Amino acid sequence: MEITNDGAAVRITGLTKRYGPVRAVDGVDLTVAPGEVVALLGPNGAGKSTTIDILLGLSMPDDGEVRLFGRSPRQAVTAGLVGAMLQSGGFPEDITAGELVALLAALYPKALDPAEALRRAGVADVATQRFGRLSGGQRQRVRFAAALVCDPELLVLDEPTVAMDVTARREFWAAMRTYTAGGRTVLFATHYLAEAEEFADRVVLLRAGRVVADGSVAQVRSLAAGRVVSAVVPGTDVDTLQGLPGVTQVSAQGDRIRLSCTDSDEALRALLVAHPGAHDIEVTAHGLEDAFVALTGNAGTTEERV
Amino acid sequence: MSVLLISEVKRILRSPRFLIFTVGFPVVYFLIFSGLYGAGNAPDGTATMVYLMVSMAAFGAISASISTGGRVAVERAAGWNRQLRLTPLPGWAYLLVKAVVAMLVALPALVLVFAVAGLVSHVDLSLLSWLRVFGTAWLGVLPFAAIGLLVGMAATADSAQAMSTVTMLVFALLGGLFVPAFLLPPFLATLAHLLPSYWLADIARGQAVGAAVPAQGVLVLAGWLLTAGAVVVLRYHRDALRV
Repeated sequence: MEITNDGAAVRITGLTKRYGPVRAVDGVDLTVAPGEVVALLGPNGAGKSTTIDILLGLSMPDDGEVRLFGRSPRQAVTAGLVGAMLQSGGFPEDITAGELVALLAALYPKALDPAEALRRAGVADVATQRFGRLSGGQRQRVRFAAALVCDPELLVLDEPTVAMDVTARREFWAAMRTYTAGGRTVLFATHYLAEAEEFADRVVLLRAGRVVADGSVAQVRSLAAGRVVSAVVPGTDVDTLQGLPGVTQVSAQGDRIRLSCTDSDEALRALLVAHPGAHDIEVTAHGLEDAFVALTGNAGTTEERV
Repeated sequence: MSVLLISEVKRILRSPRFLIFTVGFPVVYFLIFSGLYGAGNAPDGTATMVYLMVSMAAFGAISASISTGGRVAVERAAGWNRQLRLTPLPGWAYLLVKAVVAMLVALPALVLVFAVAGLVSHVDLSLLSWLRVFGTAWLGVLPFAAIGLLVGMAATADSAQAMSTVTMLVFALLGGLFVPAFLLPPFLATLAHLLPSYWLADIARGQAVGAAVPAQGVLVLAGWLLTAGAVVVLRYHRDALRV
């Protein structure tokens, strides 16, 4: 395949992948410029992993095309331009972290010193331990070291912090920041909204195999903004509550009502004035699922460019 | 690629249990069988001791190399090949390394059974004959390296061990390694002549007395090697495009 470098680190056009009747990826277009840090956000089954598999050349699309730095995925991998951390990527349990990273380093035309890769991933101290004896968080960071060792221009991470506790997660992202400070491109899949908010320059929301929103963190956050007020309110009806200021949607289960709000403070004040007997009040941020519902209506088929 | 090979060998040396079993069984069997039946000659004129020695060495070599291939199933399940496919290493290199490892793990069984036969049971061959027996037996393991990989590509992580064992036993029993083919009923004896395990042992035994290598044997061995090898490559390719 010819190399036609149009300047994009990642260019995905019309990507489609079917499993039987299910369209796991349904016409995804995505362009990532060099130096961007992009979060691919979506619930389980949204098509994140399938997209990433195709992006890396591990799976063939039914339709559409992927170019990485103007090359095919396999060409880009062979040139050492891409480092990846897979959810399903397993290492033999009976070799040490150091040997593992050194082995992978030796497969590339040029690579970092394996000890340096381990150090950057924050796991230099476990180099002599067998992979099978590491904790979940340590394993993830050895995987990160393995992805880093070819000194890639593009780093692709599929749910990198899964199986990590809070401390490990924080350390992992700290290591990532050091890496991206050098202007590298990162595409990572996650279903943690907070991770995307904190780390990405840009968030791409996937639902049912489609891009439903694509924009800066602030833009996407505003889309997903709003809170849910939930309370037990005896003797009221949905229609009355619907009229409260700041409320967009009301649902009830017995006495417990749920108010989806654009302004939960305003709504709560009004609720307490109108219904002083309201009790067991909870105010929660919209979950990612709520955000998707807010963004996509019920069917999740409309595209929204923000 | 050599780095991958070295790492594979290191891994095997690190968990020697597997090698001890594949070497231990054939040596013990050889000592038992040779104690029971060791005197005299087999109907084809080979000394019984040599006959048993080659059969048991072949059994050990076959079981070691098939189990090694079978362990590919475990690595596939763990996602190690997927990880390797994210490196410049070509897919054929992974398979080739696994085949070389399967050939290497066959060596201890061959060497040890021959050593015990020579030192303990006083099998007396010229150096040239030893080398020819050893060399042909080792080359005869080639189809089993491919068959082992086939098991590794077909099995799941859970079934790999059982499938390896069954495959190894089928080839050992039907190929006349435990019950000599000349004692098998005619139907099974005919079947034995189509199996690589039979010819591995038959050709190697012939080298003890300087016999010519039968063309049929070479054809059967090559046929199994090429067929199993081709299916492995096809399955690997299909595996790669799956998901």
